[in-house]
Amino acid sequence: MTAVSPVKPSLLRVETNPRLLGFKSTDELEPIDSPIGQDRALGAIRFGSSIDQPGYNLFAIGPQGTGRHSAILSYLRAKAADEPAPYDWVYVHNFAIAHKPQAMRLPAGIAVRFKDAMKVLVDDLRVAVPALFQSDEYREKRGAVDAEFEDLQDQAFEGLRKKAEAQNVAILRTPMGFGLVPTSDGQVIKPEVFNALPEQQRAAIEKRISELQDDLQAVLERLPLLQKEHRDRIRKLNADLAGALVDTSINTVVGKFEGISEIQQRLTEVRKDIVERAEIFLERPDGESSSPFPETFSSQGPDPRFNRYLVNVMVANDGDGDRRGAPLVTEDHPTLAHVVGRIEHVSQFGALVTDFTMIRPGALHRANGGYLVLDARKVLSEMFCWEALKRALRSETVTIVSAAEQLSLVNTVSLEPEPIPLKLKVVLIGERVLYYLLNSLDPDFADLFKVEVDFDEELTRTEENSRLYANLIATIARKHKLRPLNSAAVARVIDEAVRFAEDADRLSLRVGWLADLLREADFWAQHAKRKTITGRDVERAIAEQIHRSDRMRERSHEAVTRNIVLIETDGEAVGQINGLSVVGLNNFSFGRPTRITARTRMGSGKVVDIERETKLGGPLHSKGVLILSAFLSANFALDMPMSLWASVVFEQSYGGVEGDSASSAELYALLSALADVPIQQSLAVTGSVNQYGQVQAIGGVNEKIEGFFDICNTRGLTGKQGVLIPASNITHLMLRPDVVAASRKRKFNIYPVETISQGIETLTGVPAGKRGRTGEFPKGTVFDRVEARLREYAMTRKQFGDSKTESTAQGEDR
Amino acid sequence: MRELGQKHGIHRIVVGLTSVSNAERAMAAAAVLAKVVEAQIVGLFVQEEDMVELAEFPFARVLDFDSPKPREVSRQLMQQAYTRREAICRQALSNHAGKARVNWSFSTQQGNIRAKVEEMAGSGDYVVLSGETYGTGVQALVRAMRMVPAAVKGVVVPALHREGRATGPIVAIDDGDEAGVRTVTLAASLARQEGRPLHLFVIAAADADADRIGARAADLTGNRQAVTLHRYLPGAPQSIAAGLARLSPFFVVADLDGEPISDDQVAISLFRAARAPVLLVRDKGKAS
Repeated sequence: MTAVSPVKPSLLRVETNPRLLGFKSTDELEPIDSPIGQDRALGAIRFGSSIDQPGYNLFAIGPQGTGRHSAILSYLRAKAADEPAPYDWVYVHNFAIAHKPQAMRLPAGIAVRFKDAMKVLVDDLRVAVPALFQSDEYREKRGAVDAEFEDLQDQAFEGLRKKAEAQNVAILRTPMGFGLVPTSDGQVIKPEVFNALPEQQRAAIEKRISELQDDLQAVLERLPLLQKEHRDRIRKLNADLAGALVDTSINTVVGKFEGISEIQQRLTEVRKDIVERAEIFLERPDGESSSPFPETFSSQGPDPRFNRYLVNVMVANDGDGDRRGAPLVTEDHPTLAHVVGRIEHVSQFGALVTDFTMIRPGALHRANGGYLVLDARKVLSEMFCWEALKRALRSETVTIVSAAEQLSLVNTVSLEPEPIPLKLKVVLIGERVLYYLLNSLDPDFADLFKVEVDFDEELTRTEENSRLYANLIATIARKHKLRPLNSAAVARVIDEAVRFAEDADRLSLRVGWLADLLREADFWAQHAKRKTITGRDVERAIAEQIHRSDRMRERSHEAVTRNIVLIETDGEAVGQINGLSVVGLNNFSFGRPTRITARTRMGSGKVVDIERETKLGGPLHSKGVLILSAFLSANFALDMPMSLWASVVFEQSYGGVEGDSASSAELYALLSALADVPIQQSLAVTGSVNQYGQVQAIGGVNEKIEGFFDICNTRGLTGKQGVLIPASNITHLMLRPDVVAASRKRKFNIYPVETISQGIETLTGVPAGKRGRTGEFPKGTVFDRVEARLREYAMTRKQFGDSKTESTAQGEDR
Repeated sequence: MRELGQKHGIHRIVVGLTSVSNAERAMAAAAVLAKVVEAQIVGLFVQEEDMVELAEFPFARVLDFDSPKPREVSRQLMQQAYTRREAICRQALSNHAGKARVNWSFSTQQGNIRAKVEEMAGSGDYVVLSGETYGTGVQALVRAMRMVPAAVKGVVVPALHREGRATGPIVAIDDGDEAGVRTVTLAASLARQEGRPLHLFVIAAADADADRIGARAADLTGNRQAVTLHRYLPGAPQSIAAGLARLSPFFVVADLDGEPISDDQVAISLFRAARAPVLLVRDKGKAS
């Protein structure tokens, strides 16, 4: 018999010795300026952010709370600050194609000044031009032109009127237009009188009227040409008059931006347009200029007609001011509009209208020439955002397209702003699964995000790393303005980080979790009126965290101690064992025992997993059951067909069961049932098994042990109680101090098991057995009894088959 | 609302409206005047018989500015067009009278616009011309102006089309005759109501006459109102037109039968220069 010794108490919880940390308070420690244990990730950030090649954008992967955001932002902030400020970008009206606003690239720090200068220019002209057009000189010239054309028009009509009058015809202005009627002595002839006239006379009148109608048509057709000529004359008059004034005003702006060719060219275009359209400075915005008493309209305030001369700043980098360096932009709500920008509309008489001043920049615009940090999950969950981001990176331009346009939901007047050239680094931050999914499912992804920034979630636990971890704790405490921690508190935090990592040789790098723990410990230190956070405050913080999330665990525990859920913690039973499972609730998980039972009989070689049959078992659990049946088939009664029917069930389990950590327990129950050897109920088991009977490591070992311990502790520790764990899980042990204390007193033991043989012996106290030279298991061993039972089933099955054949044959004879 | 006709002896402002009326400009002018003299606006929409009957002729066609090709016309289409115009005119009157807070009425009749206005407008009334069915342009307006009933106290010629806004003063044109008293008095009232300066165009050959007219104006305004005097020699209508063009007046008040409006061509040039409503008062003697 291969007896398994309990794990030494010293291995159940490897605590940090505060004295070895080498300080009394974290106040003595230097803060660290880069995350610890993330050398690989930091190297990737340095590489990805520096390489100046397309597609070398970064994807930072790792679990939440590993400090990905702060590490990336901290590095990029420092890097961006040393880089030159990129160009400013503005949109201006396109005088040639109004719905395609022009993008202008300007030196950093110029955009806002240019915008202000153009606003002042327009405001000045809105006052100066009307004043100019109110001058006596202009009025006289304008009046002369107007009178000349009105006279021409009147003369044409008056001449025709007189000609018609001379021929006894009147020109009437009806609500439908001009009509010609015959007259007699200046009075219109009534139709009935006309109809009574001799035919020859009527024909003569009709002929006259027809000729005059032709003349009238000619006059009316000439009118639009006259009006156009009139408009041209007025426009020229306006342009001549406004030209000098506009030149003076624009030259002021020109002088402010000497050497910036884009602005000089723009001002030339603006000058030409203003001079050509000087009359808009005279018209009322609502088109009431033709009113006989137009009120004096304000030349102040916004007027959309002058927007064409304004400047819409998309990106302003303050090259000379406080905001130096390249931009570093984060967008917490990366909708399509927030990323690529949007075009706003205003409702006007029930229609949606817009112009280039309503173009709003997105994160890509703001980050152009610098860095953009986005959360990958948010980008993927926002409609069209991912595709828009890829499009921008691939084309190296930002094109503003709305979701409604993409879906063709709206058919309103909109703009097609000129795309703005894009040069930036995008950093996506997301979970590992997202990265791998994108890599396999999106063919563009690998080309656009070539740099993987993999954040580790654990750090190897060494003395040096523990001290480094203490520095991290000190840095976080200082950053969040918390009380300093004494060395005992730091040691306790490190121990908790080990437990969080579920590995005695690892420290968790979940900075988010760590910061929460420190903040809560600080709260309890304040509550206790302490100036320093002590080990007790950390203990309190942990206990309170557990207590807040502990209701389900308490109810589960109560159900067992009140015998509602049947769990034996002493005595022995055949085909019955205590398995262990972990229940995960958000950030809190706990272990609980579950009774597993097995029943057997003669059959066709099938082990029925009742959990799977009832669809309560997951695929990993089913896999575990299939492996244990393979173990049975491969190890027992090899010369006979497997004639077993067995069922395995998690008793009183009403939720789903997943994972293979109970497969060894299920096998033990099955072996016990086959061998008819009872299992000690004071023990619980966890561990998965392979086809060779080796017991393999599982997760949540601490919670599972503690779950069974709590039940036993409530009922009273007997010294016989304990848990069988895979030997390979010893390194993961970081048990609660009370469990360790009980173990130290031999009241509760943890048995490390490597094989099924070791386990069944520990559970039953009966040797497992090993085949001898004859190929037989020693008599009385568990495996011998199992094999005997399987042979018995096979023989029974054979006999059953024989008798059936005989009865069939007899039947045939008859 | 005060009792009607309390000021200036004006009882009603009769606005004759036809198919081609520029109702907006006519009503705007009528409302300003009605407010200052506290008179009622009477809108009279006339469906011209000649127009409706035009459709009965076998050769009936119409042509228009925006569609110069001759089109056939029917009595029904003509009637529908009149109905639309009538609604537009009624709406314009309602809007302007409402804004000016003056009483108004509106009626529709069939017949001849000149005859109907003559029937409607009595002694003490003013007539606002709104358009002319027998012709087009300012010349037709001047012809209509000459044909207003003798009994009415005056005529308002609506403003011609203007680009931009009227920023200028109220201008009174006074040649020193009896009608000048009412011209200046009405212009002064308009200036006070609208909060605009008053400019007086004095037409006088001799300095003494000019001084006398100026002094009369000062007397009529009770010396409480600043009056800017501009002197013009008789027979120099182009100078007056240039003066009006420079001032861009809000409203012009002149004597219908006196210098310089009595001459049709001069009147046309002044209306074109002013591009403002022109209130033409009639000499008391002629009105009676």
